[in-house]
Amino acid sequence: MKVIEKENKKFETIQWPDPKDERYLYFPFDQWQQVPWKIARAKDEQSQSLLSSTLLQRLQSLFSERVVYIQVFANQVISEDISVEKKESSFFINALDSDWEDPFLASFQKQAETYYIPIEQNCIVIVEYSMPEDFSNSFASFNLYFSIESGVNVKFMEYFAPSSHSFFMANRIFHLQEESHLEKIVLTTQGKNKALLFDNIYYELQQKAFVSSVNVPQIKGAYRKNMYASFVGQEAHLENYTLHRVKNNDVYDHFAKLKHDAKETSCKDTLHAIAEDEGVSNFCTRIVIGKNIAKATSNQKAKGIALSNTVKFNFRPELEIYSDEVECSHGASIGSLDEEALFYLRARGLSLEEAKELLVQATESSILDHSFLPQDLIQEVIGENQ
Amino acid sequence: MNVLEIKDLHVALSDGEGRPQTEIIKGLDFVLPKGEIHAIMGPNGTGKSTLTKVLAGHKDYIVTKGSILFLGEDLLSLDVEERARKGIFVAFQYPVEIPGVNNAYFLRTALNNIRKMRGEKELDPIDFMKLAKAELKSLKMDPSFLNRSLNEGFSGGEKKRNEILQLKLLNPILAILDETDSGLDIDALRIVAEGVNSYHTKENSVLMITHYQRLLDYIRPDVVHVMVNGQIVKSGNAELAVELEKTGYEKFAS
Repeated sequence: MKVIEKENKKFETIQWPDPKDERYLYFPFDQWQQVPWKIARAKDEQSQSLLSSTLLQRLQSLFSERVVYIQVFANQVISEDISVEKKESSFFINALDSDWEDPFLASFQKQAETYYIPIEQNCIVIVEYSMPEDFSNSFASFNLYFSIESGVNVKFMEYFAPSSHSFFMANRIFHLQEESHLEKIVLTTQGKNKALLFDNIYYELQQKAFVSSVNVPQIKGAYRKNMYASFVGQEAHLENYTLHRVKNNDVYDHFAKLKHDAKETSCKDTLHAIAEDEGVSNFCTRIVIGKNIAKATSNQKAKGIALSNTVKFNFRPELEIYSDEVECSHGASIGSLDEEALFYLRARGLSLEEAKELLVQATESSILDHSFLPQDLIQEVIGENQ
Repeated sequence: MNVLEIKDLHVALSDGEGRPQTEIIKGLDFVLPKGEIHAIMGPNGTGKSTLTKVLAGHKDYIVTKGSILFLGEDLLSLDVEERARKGIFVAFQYPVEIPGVNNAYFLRTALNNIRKMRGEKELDPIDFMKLAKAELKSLKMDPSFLNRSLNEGFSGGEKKRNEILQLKLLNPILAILDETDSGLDIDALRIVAEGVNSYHTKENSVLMITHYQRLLDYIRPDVVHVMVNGQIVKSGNAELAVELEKTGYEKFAS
């Protein structure tokens, strides 16, 4: 691929977080701060999709709606199927809720290319984020603002293919207008070596807007999810399901702030983490229910399964409630696989490894069942380009 | 030939770190010849279910003394799955619920492991479904059972029938039924018993653990044993079960 050039200068303006910043308490920045990151910029050409044509055809054949394909290659966004309008970064930053302010993320957002993508009709959207494999230490950041019009139903697949030794900072706003409906799945494929991926997502939900998102981050290196949601319209609903498996000394770091600013809004943030070797899984979700927000319902749940005794889980579910008449719950559990279930499966002739894998798959299924994509297809997408 | 030979077996509950704690089975001797059906009856807490767990290889129970031979081979040296693959099947009293594990997928994996061990060809999904559906029909189970998660949300009776379905599909050399009759209504009991009877041939053996005589009305045992305080205290023919139903276990307690 010849569509990318690397600027011959270090990216010097990263404002790394204060080590005491509670949002990043468990994130291993020290491993990444020393890397001489170079900015990757794409030229105005479209590169080939990383997803095979067979897989894309299969995806398209599952649904009757129009398929919109968007390619994000390094910092550049291209689509032949939908209007992609370039904007100033202030357009993106001004749209963010002041409660979401994060100097670290802002330092990227200010300098990133910004694109506005209105979605006005029911459709399937496939967004593919990639960088070429041969540009180690390359860094890309972009701001995407998706506006989903009133009453529009969208199925949305995001596919991250970070290359080895790369650093992706993906900033997306999803502005959901009244009664719009977004079903989303976020998938990643692993590069050959470690990468750093920041998956920053901001939702603003108007009245009766609905979001269901399934996230399957599989990465070598570190994956940071920043999820912010503002429920500004009555009866807005968001549910977010995450499944990840960390191995070696990889890190998955989940930070979410879910803010209920309207009555009868509901939310659910669920994580199932499977860790082995010296893998680290962090989950910090803060639910905030403002004053006079009646009948809000919010739930956060994290379940960690340790496949070895050298893994680390840092689970910190938090509630900030300023209203009466709300229903909130939070919980976290950490343990190994159910010994009785393992015994039962082995007593039917399954080896210990087979029994463990079956129980891990069962945990995975309980998250993947929430996706609009069938499980075999999800596994196929994840398996591509590995 | 004896399928199972147990000599002077002593078993204690583990303290969780592999050290023996409370002794439950205290010098049990037992022989089960090939082709026979034996029943072990006894009051609560006498070690009957412990015996089934020990035979299956559960790590919470530690054999402190004695031996168990399965077809002449030292059973205690085998892992849980090796025992199953060599032909031991335990229909558990409380089959565990495993959400997310598809019943059909689990059954086919289990069956193919055992077929591989026997040197038989593994079954592909189509052939497996044909076989499984035929067995489901004989147990009056809905085919949708195969698509459900393993035992999840099953009623007590459904769980027991699912155990018998597994028994019929895996076709082991030794079937151990741990209180399979508990929680079953009369119709379900008859169906389960018919399943066990259709499995049993001269080539395999059945060990039933039960409190009550009613299961033995449907599955006729060759020998009935009374187990009290971790030992077999009396053995006899099927009439012994009838006698126990009238007199209870009290006279054996002393």
